[in-house]
Amino acid sequence: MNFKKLISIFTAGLLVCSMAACGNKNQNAGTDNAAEPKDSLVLAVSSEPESGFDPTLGWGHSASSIFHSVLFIRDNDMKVQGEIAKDYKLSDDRLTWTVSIRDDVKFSDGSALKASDVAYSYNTARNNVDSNVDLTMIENVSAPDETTVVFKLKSPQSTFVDKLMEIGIVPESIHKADPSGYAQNPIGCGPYVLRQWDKGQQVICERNENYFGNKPQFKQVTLLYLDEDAKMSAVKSGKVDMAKVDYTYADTKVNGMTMKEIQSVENIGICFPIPEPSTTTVDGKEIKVGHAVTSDIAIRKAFNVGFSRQEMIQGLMNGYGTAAYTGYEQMPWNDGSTIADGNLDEAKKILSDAGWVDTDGDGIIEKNGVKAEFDLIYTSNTGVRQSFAVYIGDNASKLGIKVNPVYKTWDEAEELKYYTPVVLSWGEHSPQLMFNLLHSSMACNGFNNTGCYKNVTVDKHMNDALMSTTDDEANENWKKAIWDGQTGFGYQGDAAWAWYMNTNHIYFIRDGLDIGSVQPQPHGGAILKNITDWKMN
Amino acid sequence: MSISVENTQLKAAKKSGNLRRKTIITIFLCIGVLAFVTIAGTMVSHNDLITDFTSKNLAPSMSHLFGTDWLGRDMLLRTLKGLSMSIYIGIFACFLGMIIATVLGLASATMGKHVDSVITFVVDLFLSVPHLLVIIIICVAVGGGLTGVVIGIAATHWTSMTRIIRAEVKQILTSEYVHVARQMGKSRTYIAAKHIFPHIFPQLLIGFISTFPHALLHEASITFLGFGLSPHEPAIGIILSESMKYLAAGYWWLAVLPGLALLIIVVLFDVLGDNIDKLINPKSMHR
Repeated sequence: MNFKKLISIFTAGLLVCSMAACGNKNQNAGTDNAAEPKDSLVLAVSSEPESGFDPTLGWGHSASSIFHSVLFIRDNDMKVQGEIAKDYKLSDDRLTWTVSIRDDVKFSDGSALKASDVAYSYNTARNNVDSNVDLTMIENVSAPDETTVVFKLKSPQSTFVDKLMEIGIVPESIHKADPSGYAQNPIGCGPYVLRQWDKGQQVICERNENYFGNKPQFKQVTLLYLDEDAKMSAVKSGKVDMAKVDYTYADTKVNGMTMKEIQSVENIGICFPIPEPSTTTVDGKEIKVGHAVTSDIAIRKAFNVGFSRQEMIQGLMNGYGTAAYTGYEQMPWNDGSTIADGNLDEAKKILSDAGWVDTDGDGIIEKNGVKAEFDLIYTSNTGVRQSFAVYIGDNASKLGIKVNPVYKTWDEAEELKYYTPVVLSWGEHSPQLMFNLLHSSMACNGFNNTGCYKNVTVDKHMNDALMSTTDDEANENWKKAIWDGQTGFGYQGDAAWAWYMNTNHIYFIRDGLDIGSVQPQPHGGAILKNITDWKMN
Repeated sequence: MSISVENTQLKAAKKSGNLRRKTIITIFLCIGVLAFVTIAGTMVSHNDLITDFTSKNLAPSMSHLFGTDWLGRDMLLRTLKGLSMSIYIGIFACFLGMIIATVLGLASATMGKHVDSVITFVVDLFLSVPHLLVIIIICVAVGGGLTGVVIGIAATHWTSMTRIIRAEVKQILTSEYVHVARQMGKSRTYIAAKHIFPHIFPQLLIGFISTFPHALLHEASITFLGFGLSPHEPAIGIILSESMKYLAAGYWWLAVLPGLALLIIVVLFDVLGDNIDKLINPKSMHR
């Protein structure tokens, strides 16, 4: 027996020693690497685009591509800066946008970028039926000379500037010849060129030596496409230099890597069906809209007021988020209104003042014979949305409202969403999102304005914002749409949505890798946008 | 000499008595544990599983034997709830399966060649496709949810039982007492009820209990794969698949303990089936 024990202790000792030795070896390897500058990166930060890398199909319209460049970008203060374009001029009737572009931009194959390539890219993106980019506001695009592009719009739209940041420019001659082949082997004018694509696994990119901007430090970048848990294993074993992981892993300690929390514009909230239960006709099809409970403004206000956003953020996201009130947090078009945290009494008062009382003692309040009960759809079976729906279900009972979380796939939610409250997540770098989610012209239009919200005054403010000539003027109007002192879609007004959490994205980054200053990330993430600034120290 | 022979016989008799008693005790123990899990799980209400962030991600301890999950819910209660739900689904689905098996088995053995060949064909067809695939297809086809799972499992766990019953009934039909009964002018239903059914009943019972672990595991696997129940409901497969996400974060108890509990339940049913078989199977009951 003792002998056995001795052996096991000895073996354990051996193991520990060998592990320590390994550790030392790794450290040595680390210092070796530091001596010569690292010129390649392995990243697990994005998901694989199914349709390939063709910007005219919409890829890269939210997550920016490292193979392509766009006309304009927003800097970290959300100010518009030229990229391929130098500047733009807006005509007096605000219908014609004249963009002048740089003359020194080359595609990765060495050919020069001309204004006609820009016009071609936009026309293709607009006309392609498979494209998921909305460019219906464009009347036509033309290139009168090699450095000028003219966009004619159907109606004035100040947010069109964001469309000038969406479409990566493709070379007309190559794309036209073989559009489907192009998606597999893109030629663009971004900082990197695609070298090899192993479907389902990785994309290997090489530095574009013809890039017109600052050359990135890294000669080669490998983008790995991994599942969440595989990603975390890769982080732990030191196989990746940077990875975007689920917030549940954020507290894990990894040697040689540092966790970085990056703000996003991604918000989680509940979209309420606004009308009374009824039917309406959309595209010749009769659909059910509205909900008997959530059509009551008191219910929606109580949902805005009665939950503790701080508790949610701590509990559901381990603290890796911030409170959301309007759904446009951190954007210059947000009015900055906030709601006192978890004001249960106020919420109860709102409900009882509106006539919602529990008369039959079953713990659920009712009004005119309607019980305050509804299903809450969530469409993602993993992650924070499911936990969120469960949390709301558990805590709505404190208000006397019964919420049943229900899982539906996106397809199943397609029709349900017009008459059932649904957990949604949104976030874009453009106020156009506000228009899409809340303007009456977008009512019951796909995942835009699913609540079929209509308010004439809010519509007017948004129309004014689109008609504005300057950013500041537009932003003032967007803010008025949230709350103008009398009405608005914000919680003080119609409380069309209840927004709760602004999620942060969690990255593990190898020590020494400096990714510069990063913008609040859009839905889906666009971390590679400033890859030219990245440095390994 | 003769005394020693008697002695060994006596010893053997005593031993067999012990075996019988042991079998019965095992059966009662199994039933006791299973009934406890089922009833305890049924008594867990929604209010016991409410989110509580003050106690989230706790490792197993005396106050939370199975630890807690990322929403602070007690994993023991969730596991019990999930297991009892699985047992209910299993019982119901097996029961339906047994009814299908009885009807088809009897029909196949008694209703002539054509019916027989059709039913045997259907049985072969179902056996040739992997169970899990058929369950998923049926589950999706009937619109998912609890009904989808039950129908899916019921519709796949009758095939081998049908074969056994068909063979058994065919054998009984050739036996002399059935011939005699027929010649004495007894009706078909009389023969079926008085002479055939009593013989296949033990087979059915054992079939029911031994199909059960299959049904349970299939229920766990399809909920694990995300078909059927909503992903926030505490079904055992869902609990296991959810916990996968937290393994890399080091929360081992979310997967290990519910998995172990499922394994124990399945083993218990297996032991139960074996022992009941020992007790009522004519071949082994007097051993």
